[in-house]
Amino acid sequence: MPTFRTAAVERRASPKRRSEASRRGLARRRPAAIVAYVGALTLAALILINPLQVTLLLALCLAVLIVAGRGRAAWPYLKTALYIGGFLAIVNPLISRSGATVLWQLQLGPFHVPITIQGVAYGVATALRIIAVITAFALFNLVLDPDDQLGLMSRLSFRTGLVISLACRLLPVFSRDAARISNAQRARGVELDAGRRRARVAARVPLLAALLAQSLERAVDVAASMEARGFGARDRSHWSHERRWRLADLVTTAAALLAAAALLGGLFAGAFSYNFYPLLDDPWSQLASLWWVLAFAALVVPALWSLPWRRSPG
Amino acid sequence: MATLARLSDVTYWYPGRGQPALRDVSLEIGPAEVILVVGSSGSGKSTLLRCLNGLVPHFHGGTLAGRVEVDGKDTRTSHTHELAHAVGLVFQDPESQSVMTTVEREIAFGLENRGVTSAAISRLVEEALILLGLSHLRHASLATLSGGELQKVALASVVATQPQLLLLDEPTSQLDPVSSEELLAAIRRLSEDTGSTIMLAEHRTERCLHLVTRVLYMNDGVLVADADPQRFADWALDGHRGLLPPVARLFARRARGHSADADDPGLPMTVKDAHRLLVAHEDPKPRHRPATSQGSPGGIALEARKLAIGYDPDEPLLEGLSFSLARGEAVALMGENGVGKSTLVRHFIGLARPLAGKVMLLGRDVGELTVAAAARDCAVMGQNPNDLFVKDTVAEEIAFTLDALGITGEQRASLTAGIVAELDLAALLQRNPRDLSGGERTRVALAATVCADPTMVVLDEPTRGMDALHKAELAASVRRWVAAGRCVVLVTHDVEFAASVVERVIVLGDRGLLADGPAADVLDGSLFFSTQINRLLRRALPGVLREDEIEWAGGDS
Amino acid sequence: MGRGGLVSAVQLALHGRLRRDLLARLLLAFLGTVAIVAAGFAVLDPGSVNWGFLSLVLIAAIVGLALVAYGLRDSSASELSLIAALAALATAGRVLFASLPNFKPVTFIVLVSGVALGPAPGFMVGATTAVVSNLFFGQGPWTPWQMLAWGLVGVCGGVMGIKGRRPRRWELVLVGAALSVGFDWFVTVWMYLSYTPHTWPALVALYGEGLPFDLSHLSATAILAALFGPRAVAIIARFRARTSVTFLTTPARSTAAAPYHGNLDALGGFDDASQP
Repeated sequence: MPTFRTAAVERRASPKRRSEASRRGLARRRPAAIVAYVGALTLAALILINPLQVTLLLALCLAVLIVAGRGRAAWPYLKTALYIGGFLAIVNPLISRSGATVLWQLQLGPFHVPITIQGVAYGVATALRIIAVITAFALFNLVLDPDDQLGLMSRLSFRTGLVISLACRLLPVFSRDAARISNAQRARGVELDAGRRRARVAARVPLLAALLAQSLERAVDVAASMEARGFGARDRSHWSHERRWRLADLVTTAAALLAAAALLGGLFAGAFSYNFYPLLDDPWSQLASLWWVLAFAALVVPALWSLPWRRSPG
Repeated sequence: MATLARLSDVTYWYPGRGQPALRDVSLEIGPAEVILVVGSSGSGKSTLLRCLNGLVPHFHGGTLAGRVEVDGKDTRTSHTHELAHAVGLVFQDPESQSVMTTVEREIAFGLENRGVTSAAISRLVEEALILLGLSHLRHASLATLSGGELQKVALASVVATQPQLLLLDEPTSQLDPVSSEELLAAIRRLSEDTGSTIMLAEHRTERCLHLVTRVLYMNDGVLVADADPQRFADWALDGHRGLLPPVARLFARRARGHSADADDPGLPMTVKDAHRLLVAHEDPKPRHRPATSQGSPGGIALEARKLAIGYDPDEPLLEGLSFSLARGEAVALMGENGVGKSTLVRHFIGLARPLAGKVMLLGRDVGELTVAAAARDCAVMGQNPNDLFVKDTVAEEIAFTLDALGITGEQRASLTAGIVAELDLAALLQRNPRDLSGGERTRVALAATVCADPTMVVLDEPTRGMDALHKAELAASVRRWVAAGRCVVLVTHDVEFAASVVERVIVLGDRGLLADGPAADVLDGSLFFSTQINRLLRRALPGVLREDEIEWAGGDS
Repeated sequence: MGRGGLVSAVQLALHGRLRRDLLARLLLAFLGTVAIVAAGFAVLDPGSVNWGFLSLVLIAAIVGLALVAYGLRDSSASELSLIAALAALATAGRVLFASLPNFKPVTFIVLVSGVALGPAPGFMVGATTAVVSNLFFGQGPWTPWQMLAWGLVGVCGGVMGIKGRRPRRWELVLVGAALSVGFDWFVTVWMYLSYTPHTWPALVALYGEGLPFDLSHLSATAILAALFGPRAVAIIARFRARTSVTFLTTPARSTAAAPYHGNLDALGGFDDASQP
């Protein structure tokens, strides 16, 4: 069972970049525009506390996912999100004591545990919030190719981007090395799967030694290859071969920035704080707040823009 | 004539080594040359190439005496990245050369390092892709490419910067024959279409001797010979025959008496050249095959019964395989890259379970044995000897295998002594296997594989990247094992090597066994799995595979 | 003019000579500002602060600064590729232990990398590992936390191995175990701050939920450190900095018996052999 700490959702790095024509929805935007928009959605997911606002945001994220054609691929993320959300929805009401309206009293051993409406609301709200955050990140992971993610990182800091790119390049190579080394050792008579856990780990230590040494030898070869191709000179350029900014990209980015500004402004103006205790704040009134309206409207615009009814490539 | 590069009395020691890797090497390289560098592993070929782009000494450290000048710059004072303007180097291992995740970015890498503008990069990347036939892989992730494709990408990446001197350090040694040919063809196109000088270090001279204008032979750090191919061939006849292609060796033995032509075409390097020579003179005739030192095949070592292997039960890789391998027999297992040879061999010891059928190893069903128990009787060595090295000394490696198989006491001591003597490892026992040269590593890997005296030995592509000398040593080992009653299976693409050592060949193809019989029958007349000699003489002398099976009518010279 | 003109004007601006690190600095400045302003609010009016958000921004800013600082160092190709390889190995090493449930050698590898290479490279190995494994397994809001946590594991390793010191086996085991637990707890802090009331029972519940995984993580790091720690450090240290180059000014005549063969003069009659 996954926990939030090991929320690992395996996903296959796509071998070929999906061709431009087959992209739908948000995926058709430039990487920078995608990052700006998803960043704004994530910011919203982190800032918002009001359950109604969070629900609307969640619905928007899901809609964008579906329109981009990544609905099915998002399912593993949603499973993790539901698991963690479920945990929060159940545990939070049990441990919060500040609510005023008691629904019923639970007797757990020597403990009196009052379950309050406010507690339950808090639990559900936090569950929704974490689901929204995970969904926003799912959007980031699924709409942006790993290679685009790498490209963006190298724009920020070339050397750091290079290290990450190189690590990504080497990861599948090392995985294959590991499998081959395991087979080679088995073929030599080494028993890898006999005995208790500690024995099995001990049997694998020599393999780890071989893999470690092998990996570092590869690292030296790669470094030589880098230097042989001129790495280390001062004036390095950056190849930007992405397509030009289109109107849709500009709209998306501008809307994202506007939304971010509205969210942060509202955060500092206190417009997004919401109290559960001792009594629930009125969730509906916050929906009329200008900050919220501005932020949500700005977030919805790119989603509408990316709907497939538009014929133009933008 | 403008010199592109010059070495003057260069002697170089890698850090911490007592023996120099290069000794007093002097040579001059001009424009538009195509140079082949040959020599056994550890001879200094790689070091020589790396001197030319500054990796030696700036990347590797160590001590350098003498002077290396490339494109007017002294490598003592110019760094590798300055020299990279004029020199490009393609390395041996396809998987350890790339830095980016997609093909286009990889090709752009070298150009970015040089500060080329974005627009120019786009154009150059496009052209490099077209030049090497990689356009369809433009956006592909490098993790999905085959070895041959990766090497082409590496070549494209280097070629995009348009170097005057293109160095290639054994670029085909990790590749299968088809990919090797493609890469060599690409290199040839480059040599013909651009004015770059190309220096290629390569073991399989029969593939490229006819393409080059000059040959350098290195031995133990010394530049022993430096001449054009014909003169090199004449020189090599005296003690270095293994360096020459089989047809050259064959024609070298022909008596020259009556053919004192002023325009002697010299020794042929390819089958086509040899055909031309054949027409004009007397026909050779075969002589008795030399008695092979095989033991007479003994009992059955391994039997496959209606074996079906693969990953998907509906689409097996190979099915209907039924064959038996006997003790005292040497068998070559051949087939196209990816057909399933390595997979099949894994079934011999239970590393993989068959989809159908079974494998009987010395009479016992492998499916009922543990892998360790099967490994006791059948030793399998994989394609990469480095996968075996888990310890810090050679002696510990051998001990590790014996430990794993539960061999102790006196038997252990005698087996250890035996394998050390047989593979000549006494001097290397306390060295770290990863510090050794390619040929030495293979010997150590072999020792660690067969030290427990197994009945059956399977070697998967043992001759990859191996020079002629070590191949001969390996062939001798195989013959020794066969004479001692072991069953030896060689999974290999190297037809020449197989022909020199095995008596039986099994060819695998799509879905199953394509051929299984004596080497002379299977390899004779084959379109693809055939030796140079056979291709030359198959009509005149069917069934002949090696040049040592032939003698000339007028007597050998 | 109109729409087309506006679009092309913006296109021109964006494709112009926008310096790369300017983008990085802008982003960091933005993060830093938000962090400082939020921190200000936290101090002035603790009750109203969204602690989860604040903490995430702070962590992201710290990590971002560290990465940019590293990027400004003049690292050699060797160092970069060594760091990348160790980060890739930390993730790929899992394959070797595939049949052992929940066995993660990641922290162990980051730790010994730090010991062998030093604090700064150690940090990079940790942070890169987090990014790379999340590129394959999916980024989440926990990414900056993991980056910082593993980065700090690398730094601790570096401190242990400072000035070429080789830590003893038991030191690696203890520190490794402590860091593994610390890592898990650190990454949980964000959950605590964002999604639960800030009370003791909440803390207990969160950490209790993850206890089995904490134990696996701890035992994996400790067992590996015990069985392989010092040797791993030795192996990595071998590949560390390249040795320096020595140039001999007078060409050293080789004392080996091999005669000097530069061209085929010695073979007679091939004077023009080396000329193309």
